[in-house]
Amino acid sequence: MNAKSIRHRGRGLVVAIAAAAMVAACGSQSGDTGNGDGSDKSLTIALPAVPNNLDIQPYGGPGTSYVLAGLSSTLFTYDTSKVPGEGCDQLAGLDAITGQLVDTWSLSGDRKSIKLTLKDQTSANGNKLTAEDVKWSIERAIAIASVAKTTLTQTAEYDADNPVTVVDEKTAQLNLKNSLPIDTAVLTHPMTTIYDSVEAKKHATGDDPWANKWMQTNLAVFGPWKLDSFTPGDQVVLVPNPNFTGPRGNLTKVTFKGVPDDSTRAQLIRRGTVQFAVSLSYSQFSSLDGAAGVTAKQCVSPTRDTLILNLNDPALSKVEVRQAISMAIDRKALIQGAYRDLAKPAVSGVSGSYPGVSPQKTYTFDVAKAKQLLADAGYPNGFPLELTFSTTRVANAPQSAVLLQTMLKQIGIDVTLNNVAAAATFADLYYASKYQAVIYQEPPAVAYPYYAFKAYNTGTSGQNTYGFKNAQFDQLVQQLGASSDAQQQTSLINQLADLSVDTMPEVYLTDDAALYAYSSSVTGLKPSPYGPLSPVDLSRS
Amino acid sequence: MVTEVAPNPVGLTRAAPAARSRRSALLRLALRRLAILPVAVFLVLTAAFFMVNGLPSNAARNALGPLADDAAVAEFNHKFGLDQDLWTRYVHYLGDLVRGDLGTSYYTSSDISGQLVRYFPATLELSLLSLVVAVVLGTALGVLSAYKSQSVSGRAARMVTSVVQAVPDFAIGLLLIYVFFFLLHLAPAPLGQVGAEDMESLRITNAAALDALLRGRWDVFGSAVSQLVLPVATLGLFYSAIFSRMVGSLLRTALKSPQVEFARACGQPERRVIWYALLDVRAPIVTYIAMLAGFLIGGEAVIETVFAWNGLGQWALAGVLATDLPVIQGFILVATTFTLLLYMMLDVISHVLDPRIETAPK
Repeated sequence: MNAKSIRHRGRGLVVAIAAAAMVAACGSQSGDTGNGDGSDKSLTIALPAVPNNLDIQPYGGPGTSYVLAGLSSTLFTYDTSKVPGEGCDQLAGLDAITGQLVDTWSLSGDRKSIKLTLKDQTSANGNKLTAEDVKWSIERAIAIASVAKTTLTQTAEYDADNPVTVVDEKTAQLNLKNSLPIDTAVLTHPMTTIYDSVEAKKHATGDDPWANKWMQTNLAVFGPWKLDSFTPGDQVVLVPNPNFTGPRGNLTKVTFKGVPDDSTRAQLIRRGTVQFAVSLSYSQFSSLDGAAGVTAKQCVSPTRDTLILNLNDPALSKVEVRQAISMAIDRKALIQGAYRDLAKPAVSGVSGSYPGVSPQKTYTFDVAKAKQLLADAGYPNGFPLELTFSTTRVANAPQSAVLLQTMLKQIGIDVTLNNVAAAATFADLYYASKYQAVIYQEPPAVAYPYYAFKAYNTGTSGQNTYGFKNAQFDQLVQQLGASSDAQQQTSLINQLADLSVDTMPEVYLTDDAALYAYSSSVTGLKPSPYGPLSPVDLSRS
Repeated sequence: MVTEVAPNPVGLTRAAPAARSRRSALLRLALRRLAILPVAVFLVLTAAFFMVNGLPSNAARNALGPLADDAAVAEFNHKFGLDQDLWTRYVHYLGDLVRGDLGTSYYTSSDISGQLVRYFPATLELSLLSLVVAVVLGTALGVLSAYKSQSVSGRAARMVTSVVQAVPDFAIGLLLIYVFFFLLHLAPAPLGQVGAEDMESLRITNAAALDALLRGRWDVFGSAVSQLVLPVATLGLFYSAIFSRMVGSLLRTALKSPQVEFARACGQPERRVIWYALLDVRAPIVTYIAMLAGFLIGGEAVIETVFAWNGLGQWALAGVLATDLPVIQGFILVATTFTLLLYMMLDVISHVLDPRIETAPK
């Protein structure tokens, strides 16, 4: 090959690279959605995954929760305006619940029903909100979604056979078997989204009476948004519902975009390409702290990370062994090592994020006493323990698992790690109780201790696959549900938290924080205790 | 008496039968391969069905959620035929397959054939462009490392190849995103095929750049092409390293072959000498290109995830992690058929390139 030929080809290569760079550079402008220069009022939220369908069932993972929460078409919501930090510094309690599609509501004298008067709202399809929409949506949720059915008819105690009665066009009646403190709180959850039944029923068939097929790719709701476009697994675009009457921010478009890679989501928000980055790892979130144009906000959350020990295992069935394991864990070190100090150590059987809760008994860190307890239980030399975890359930579980392995080694427990890649496999193991110990996360659908105790720790709970059964515990939970006196409720919550330290149904590790990473051009963030944000309050400057 | 003498068609009469014979041999070869194709697909699908369905999983609980009651689980299992024994399910699967029904996803209730039509073109577009980059770049690096083996440029080519080969493809992708998107602001955000554009309004073939072109949407076409740059560069770079190793190795031998020596002795320019050497090894190069195309279709799931490409690989990966069995089977069907078709074409092309290659059974 002569020198002239090589030079000629070299020039060609340079031109090709330059052309590619130019095309990429030109295109990059279209990829950005604004940097808050005052002209762009659209909001892009980067999620780890956008669901393949828009319905509540089949559940498409956290992406479904974010999209549905974004619709703001539930009967109730939380008004955090009077809560410290607008819900960031303190968890909004049940007293912060207010109507979203409901105007007024009242519990009947016999505590068997709640009468709702609906607001005047109109869907983007032009249909007015009626009691029939409430009945159709709630009955549909119970019929097609197991989580909704369990939450509404078991954790809360709605009448499964007749949950809603239409009184008149604007009045609906919720029918209860028993009234509980969480009666209205469960209706803040996106799984109880109220749909435009007139529109949806047009797409129902004999084989598909709930219009499931149509609902998978379409939205007909009464909130501030309507569906502009949906690309399954890729993005959901919402634009304002022109018929919506109610307070809202100045956003003209909300896009939920699937960006699976965590570091890419962080880079996108740094560049201003997206305005919210969801589910960042602790390390990525830390890296955004202090970044120009980015707000990294740490708020209280009812979510807890926990070490669940299977009581069907002979060693772990002994309460002394469970207490020894709890006592051998240095929760502060765990948080420094695996959480970048972005969580708080769990101190008792109830999350410390609930205001007014002050249990007397707390977890302690005492390796010598842990060894003694283990010896008293008949395991002076410890025992082997398999610890199962999955990043699909707890993102930083591998780091936590390694630290727990080291900590438990000190009392002679030889931990082997079982990292499960697929969420489905992990769920199989968990719900079939095929594990010795798992690192788990509990994000309660309702931020109230009664819900957490009942959903996760009672003997009849579907989440309790670890075999904890304690009659006293269950009785206290039942009393808490039946109580309408605030002082008595607090006392019962404290008693349950203390009993948890004594009986150790689970070894709670951390009280997690809700982490919000967003563009500084965004204002109006009001964290919901449920977690996923609702863009209805947001504006861009 | 005048005797008419027909013109002597010696040249034609001798060449035509040879060409006809060759065409006929090629046709026979293609038909033989086509006949084998359904059998091979059947065998792969059968093995895949029993392996996939033998996985320890509870599809109903996974799809319906952990709190699903027994009645809902039973209804789900009945709907998807999971309450039947494995053999009955297999027979139904084959029956449905023959009718063109690939089943429906447990999670989205969408029909699998529709999903394949939706996701495959995006992957094919990315794969083919990556293949072109890998082949061009790989050949250039391979030639350089073989032809200039003792020079600085040859050593540099080998070093680049070794480094790129040692780094996982997703790491190359993340590095390119960091440098070209985040630091230099040259590349667009890795937000899929058309960035923040509306993909739904484009759909014709489901390959974004092609669809934008077909619709005459030049603005979106520019966006789609720019979105292609980094993922194509990632895959192209990664596979070019492997490709250049193979080309370099083949070429080192070919450059010492008698015909190359003869070409040099005849005073042919070095460019032509290299071309002759490349022609000498064209058959294994074509074989490797076909193999690479097969790898790309089945193996770019991670890169699709990094770039939020929403193609076949990302779809299949999500299906695997969720043990969505119809999705996994649908993906295996497409990947198998595509790969076998490629190998069939490879056989034919190899025969065309070098008729000495024995393809007929003895």
